[in-house]
Amino acid sequence: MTMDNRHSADAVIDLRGRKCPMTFVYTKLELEKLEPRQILKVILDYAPSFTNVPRSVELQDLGEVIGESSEPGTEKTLWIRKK
Amino acid sequence: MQTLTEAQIDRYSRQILLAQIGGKGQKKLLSSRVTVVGAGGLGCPAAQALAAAGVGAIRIIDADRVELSNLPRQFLHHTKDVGRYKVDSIKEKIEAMNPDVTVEAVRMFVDKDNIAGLLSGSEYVIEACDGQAAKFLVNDACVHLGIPFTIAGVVQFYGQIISVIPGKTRCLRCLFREPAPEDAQNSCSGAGVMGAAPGMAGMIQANEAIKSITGAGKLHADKLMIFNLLDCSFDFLDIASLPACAACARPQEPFYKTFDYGSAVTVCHLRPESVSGRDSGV
Repeated sequence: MTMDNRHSADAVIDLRGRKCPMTFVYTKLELEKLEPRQILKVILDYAPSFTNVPRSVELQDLGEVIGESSEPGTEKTLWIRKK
Repeated sequence: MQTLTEAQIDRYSRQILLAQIGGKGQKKLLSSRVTVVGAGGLGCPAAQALAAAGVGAIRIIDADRVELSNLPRQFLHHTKDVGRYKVDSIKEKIEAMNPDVTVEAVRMFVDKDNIAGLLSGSEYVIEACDGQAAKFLVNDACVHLGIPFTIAGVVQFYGQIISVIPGKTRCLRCLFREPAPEDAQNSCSGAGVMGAAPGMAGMIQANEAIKSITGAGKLHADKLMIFNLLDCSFDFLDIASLPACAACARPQEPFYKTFDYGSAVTVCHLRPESVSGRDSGV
């Protein structure tokens, strides 16, 4: 995984302003709406979510983080391919 | 299926987080109906847990009224409710607790004639009565109607719980065959009960309903759980190999219509009138 690995996305969810665990809750609900292999773009600005969201997505086997990009210290964007 | 509102996502977030529930499971709960037969020591915690979890429709059946001696274990009834119908008391508390839940309060006792109508349309049934005959009636009717259900019984610090999936697992009648004669000395009013015992059993019953609706985990079926809260022991009796009872052998026939449950079956307890100071059991 690189620090700037952008992808096209089938859906986007902007979770700036939200904290754990709601960042994962909303990510999970968005993934449920997608078809397998579709890609969800998730925008985060709560630092603990930068690691918690990918970890929970993988622990629950919901999908794979295929890319991410960071604004140093402020925001992170993830691209998640639904399983 | 409906979309979850922002408030629902917030309220149920800790359930949505669960791998086994998620948004899909939560929507299933919100669109499901569970019937709780009995509004006492088992029915209160069961209904409370169902409602808090967001089971959208709860039908609760009991013609009894709240007595002062109910309050140490029937946690949804408050001192001010003494003399009220238990189902009305529960409806008020639940609807204040969770506006997503509709409570259908049925001021009746189950009997052979009304039970099919009272249970129909339910995805799950929680038997929460205190008489053996009523437990068998609910058991036999659910087997015939094909509705998964759970039955619990408690007294003192002890309890027993089974879950049944009609057509797939053993039932109460497979296990015990016949209701034992009612024994006032072994009822909660005769022998006493500590509220934590029905409280725990009712919570487990609610959890069985939630699992059945969402498909989470494994139901406590083909096993009898026996707990003793005095020494904190939990035992499990495997009942899978028991032969099928008369109700399970021919589920398409309404066995409950022909079985003689005795005089106690028309009520969930042994005493028809109930606005006295005496206790009516669980």
